[in-house]
Amino acid sequence: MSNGSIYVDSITRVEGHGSIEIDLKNKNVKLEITEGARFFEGILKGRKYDEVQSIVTRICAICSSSHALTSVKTLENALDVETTEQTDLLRKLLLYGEIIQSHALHLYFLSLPDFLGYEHAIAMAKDHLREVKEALRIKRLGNIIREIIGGRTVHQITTVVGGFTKIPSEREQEKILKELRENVKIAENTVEIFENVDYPDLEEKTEYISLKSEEYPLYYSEKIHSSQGWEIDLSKYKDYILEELRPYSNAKFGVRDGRGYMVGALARLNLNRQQLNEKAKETLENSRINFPNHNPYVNNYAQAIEILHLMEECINILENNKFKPEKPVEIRPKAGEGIAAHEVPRGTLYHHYRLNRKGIIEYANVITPTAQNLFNMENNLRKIAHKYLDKGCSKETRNKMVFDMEKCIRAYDPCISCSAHFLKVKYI
Amino acid sequence: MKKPKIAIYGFTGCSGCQLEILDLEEALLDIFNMVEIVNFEMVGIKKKPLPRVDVSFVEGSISKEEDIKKLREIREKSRIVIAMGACACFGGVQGIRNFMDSKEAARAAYGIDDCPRGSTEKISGIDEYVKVDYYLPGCPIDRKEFLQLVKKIVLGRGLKPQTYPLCVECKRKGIVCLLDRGILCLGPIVRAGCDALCPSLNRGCEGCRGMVADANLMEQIEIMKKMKFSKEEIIRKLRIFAANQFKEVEKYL
Repeated sequence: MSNGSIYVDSITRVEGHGSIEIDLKNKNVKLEITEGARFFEGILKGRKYDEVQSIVTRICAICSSSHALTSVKTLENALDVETTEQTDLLRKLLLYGEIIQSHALHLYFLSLPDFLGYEHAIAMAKDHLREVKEALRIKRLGNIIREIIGGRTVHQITTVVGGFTKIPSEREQEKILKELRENVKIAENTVEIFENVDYPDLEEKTEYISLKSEEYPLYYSEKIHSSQGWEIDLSKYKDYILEELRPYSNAKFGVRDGRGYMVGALARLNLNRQQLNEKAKETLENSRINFPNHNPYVNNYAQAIEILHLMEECINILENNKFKPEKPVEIRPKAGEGIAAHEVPRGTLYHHYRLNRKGIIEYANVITPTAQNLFNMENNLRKIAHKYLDKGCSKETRNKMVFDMEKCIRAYDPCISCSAHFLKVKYI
Repeated sequence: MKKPKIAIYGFTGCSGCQLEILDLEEALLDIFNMVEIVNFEMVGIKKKPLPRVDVSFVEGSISKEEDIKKLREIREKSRIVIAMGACACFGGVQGIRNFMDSKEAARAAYGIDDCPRGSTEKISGIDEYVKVDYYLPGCPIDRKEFLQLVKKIVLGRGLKPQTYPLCVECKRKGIVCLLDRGILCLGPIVRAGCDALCPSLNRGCEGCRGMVADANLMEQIEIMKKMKFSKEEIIRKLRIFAANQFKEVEKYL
């Protein structure tokens, strides 16, 4: 500590590298994204459409399928490629598997230790072995889906422009279905755990944004909507979703009309909870947690509800479809521009590319969910600083404050690698 | 027997290799019984100052000046240093920037002409700055190979790198050669060890495990050229995961 400020160097139990700087005198907080720069939009330039998937998956390991699927859809939109219904269903399954895996990793390994008072999940395992083992099983379920459909748990291989390079065998499809059925109970337990943990009191009304779709949006859609009542076509995303520069951070901050907004599980439930499957909807209606909900910590609970919803959704898809071997649609390179967005674990992910007539990228833009949430995260941290520092500044207060801040950041489940790869930096 | 002390660190990358370790799932709990993990920030295990350990697994490439200092301290405090994944071994996908006009790359990604403050001029693997004892290549690493290495470390042994190309694994699995099917594949010059995963899924090898020792580069490039792949196409393929290392191949084009 120096000059009346606290510097929390490298926040743990999040993906990537970030820090918090707290100015005790002015009660100001800065969220610094210190992850090294990776220039993805730069390195995509000059790449042919069939090389893009291998590069963008590496933006982030936890959500590599999300980047893969958004990227191939963007390219298909640019190249006017129509894929089959089977491709669509398999892509949904892959994305849902990824969301189950990502939410489970976040809820049990990154977040739960905060609520049960442990430094990390390994320490937690000593007293709560059942929960940790269940967590590992549900995470594994998500990974089995990613592995069977995408070819690998991290950085999928089969997802290409036009379809899949390999279709799961009947036996593999049955394996996924079996695993899903066996894990429904754990999904229910997960909801119960996160309904009953003690969320700090933090009411922060903000704008919620998600894709809008005929079903609960956790896939591709061409409509975006907001809790403020507006609804737009995806093609207009740039007019609504802006990004702001912060000199101290290696990531852009998502902003609308000078204010922050929230994307992710809590935003999706606040906007689309009527579209949940029966079981998830019923669970939510009987919950002691009310919706719409404006406490960012409740994002944890929202993720647990989404796991329950997705398990049912995956079971429905697999019970009603048998996938048959099928080759990707043939591609003819041409000039074009494409935009695509998916709801992915942490919120809405946008990719946007322009190709020349050889199918080579001339322009690329990627907006990640975490970048969109950073503005609000920093605002929440300021509010927490005021809550504690208004009561004085003892060592005990400060420790509690920092703990609540880290917990708040983790509730958003930030993927810092994602957010930092598209930063714009302004020097001061 | 005393449990070996192990630390896991991450520099610039996607955290995929750390995630591969977490993806060991049930076996993960066994690892925690076999060894003492004293640093693993993604899980929340963090020591300051950096602890003295038997083995450090280092993920990510070096892209910031301040990382060099930390990396040197890690080296100094570890008996064995292992470069984990394509980023730590060769620079990884962000290493593509080394082959671009740096101003153009910065403009596309950041909208300005300069790289962020404190960026290193070149993106590199960790052996640019410190001695590396073992390389665990791949993008991401293969978690089974990681587990095998940890077991060998517990037994006080090392890991021998594969000295044969990926083609050997393809043949063993009876996969019809992708080059023969008209798909560009770097298999003949790439270090084996992934059990030909991408070719088995009908995707050509993109070289995430780096170059195999003693590869017959000239002959392989000739074959690729004969198969009507253009120089540009081959170069782009070489510049994905291990662009720094494959630079040597480009002179045969």
